[in-house]
Amino acid sequence: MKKKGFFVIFILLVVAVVLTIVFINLFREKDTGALVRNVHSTVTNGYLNKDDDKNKKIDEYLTQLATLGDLSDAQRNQVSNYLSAYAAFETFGDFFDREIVFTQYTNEYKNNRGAIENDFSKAQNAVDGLYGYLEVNKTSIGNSDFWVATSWNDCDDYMADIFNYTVDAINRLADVYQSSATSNLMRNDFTQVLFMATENLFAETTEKLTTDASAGRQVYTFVRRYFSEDGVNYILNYNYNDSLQGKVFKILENGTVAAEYQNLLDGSIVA
Amino acid sequence: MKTKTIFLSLILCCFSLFSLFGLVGCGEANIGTLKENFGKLDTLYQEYTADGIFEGGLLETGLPRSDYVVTYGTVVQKKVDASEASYKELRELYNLTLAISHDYIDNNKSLILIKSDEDLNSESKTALNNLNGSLVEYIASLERFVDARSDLIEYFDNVSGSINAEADENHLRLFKKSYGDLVSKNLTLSTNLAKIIETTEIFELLSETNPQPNDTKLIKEYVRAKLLPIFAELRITEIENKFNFNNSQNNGDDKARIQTLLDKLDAAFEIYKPNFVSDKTTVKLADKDATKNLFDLIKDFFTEADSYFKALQNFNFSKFAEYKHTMEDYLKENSMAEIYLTKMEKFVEVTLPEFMNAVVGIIY
Repeated sequence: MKKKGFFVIFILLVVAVVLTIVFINLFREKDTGALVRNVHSTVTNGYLNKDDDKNKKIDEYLTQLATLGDLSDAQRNQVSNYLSAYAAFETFGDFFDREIVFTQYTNEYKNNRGAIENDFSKAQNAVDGLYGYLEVNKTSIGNSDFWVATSWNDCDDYMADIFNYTVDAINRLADVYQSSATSNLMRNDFTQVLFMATENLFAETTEKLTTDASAGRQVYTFVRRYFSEDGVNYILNYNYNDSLQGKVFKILENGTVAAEYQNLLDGSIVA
Repeated sequence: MKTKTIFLSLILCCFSLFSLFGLVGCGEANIGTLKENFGKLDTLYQEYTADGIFEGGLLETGLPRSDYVVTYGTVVQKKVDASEASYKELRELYNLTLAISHDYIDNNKSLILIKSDEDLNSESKTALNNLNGSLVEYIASLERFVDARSDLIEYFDNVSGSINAEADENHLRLFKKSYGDLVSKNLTLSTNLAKIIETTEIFELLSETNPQPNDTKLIKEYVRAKLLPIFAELRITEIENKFNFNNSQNNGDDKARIQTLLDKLDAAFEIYKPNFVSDKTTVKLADKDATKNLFDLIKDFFTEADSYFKALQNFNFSKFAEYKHTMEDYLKENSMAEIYLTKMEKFVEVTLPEFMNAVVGIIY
């Protein structure tokens, strides 16, 4: 009797293990749908949507502050760099929103998805916090809002969070994209050097945040040139452009010291 | 008793499994099945050609003659010509697509039929099953099409005019549906033929040797078959949508955007026809490197084309037409619609012509 009982329990255990394996396989993440939805929601309903009220308010604030005489040079550089970087983020958001839907599940995706979602969530929290602050501390005259220069002391941490989390999300998205995009027309040596240069330019912006206002502008110009809807044509045509392929090969070979790297930054590489 | 029951159950279980595996095995096609079905199709065509349903003819200047031009009765011909422009447009598109697709099948099926089952790897066997399945479906749709055509001719010869214009339209619509199905099934058949050729060692051998002009033509034919659905699917869907939906309230901007996409697709089709469909004979003797480069371009392009088809399918033009071409409304239903449409625009405006021009540069 006891033996029969053990036998039944053993059978039930086997069935349970088999069913667990079946269900794990059945519900295992097999595509990039979750990240697609997250990026799309951030770009269409979240802080990367340029028509979003919070986004517009922050843009209005930074634009106004960058022209105020009361700010120190270091603060003005900081504000200008954040303003340009935010515009670059929007362009990047649009690019990944357009392309990530055509990617496939990879280990890179598996390793980065959570971190990307976390980055976007924290950046959105910072945007919400900043927007709340700006709403409370604004002075409205007619249809225009104004803020005093000292407000920056309360806002720079929010902007630092938005910048750092979004840059991290973009760098991770680039890694996911580079390993998960299916087509060599959209993922190739050229996109590899473009992502490398973007990472370098964001790092440079961080380094020169308070000392050089042109760092952010350079990121913005670079990102618009290659990742906007029109700019993507350079990527699409890369496979048919022998001359560009040769230059990109030199960058891959020699890194940022290659003469062609400067051409990549200033856009003359595709001229 | 207990042991006996367990033993009998085990035997029964084994028999069930063997039968199941046996049945799965029975469903597998082989080269013999394929030959038989292609033979059946040829016999049907001979019969239908003798009956005057298909005839040899020239669809457009500069394109080769085709044996698959569909004929209509004189009354129907007049009716279609006199009806709203889209019927004529659709009929021409159906005719051309069917002829291009079917000529590819005629020119290339022997590449597979000369093989023996032992030559096929597991990938080829799966592709052969798909090819045979699409062939069986095509034969069935051909028979349905011939019936629909006879009904249509009979109606217009004997009944039309005595009922009302709406009945005429309904008969034309029914025929259109059947013709559309025929074209679509033929496209699947030619694409599946291209896919099985892709799985054999033919292309592998070509990329390892210095191909002769005939080999280059083979690659050209392959590209032609794989490109055809890119042109046909969207154009046919959009022309059909003109019939199915009332567009009187549509938003001008969105409609213009779709029209631009179609215009660009038509422009690309004008590169396709003279270079991939015509009988241009001055093919280059490509060297090994050029051929390898060509295969790389082809592989990359058709991977990107998969994204285009994904976008086409997910955008769903027929559904979009229900929203009277207003993207703003449609986005509430399909939040990714803009992304899919942008992908199609990029593909049609940039990727497709760039690819065709690059291939033309290599093969001519």
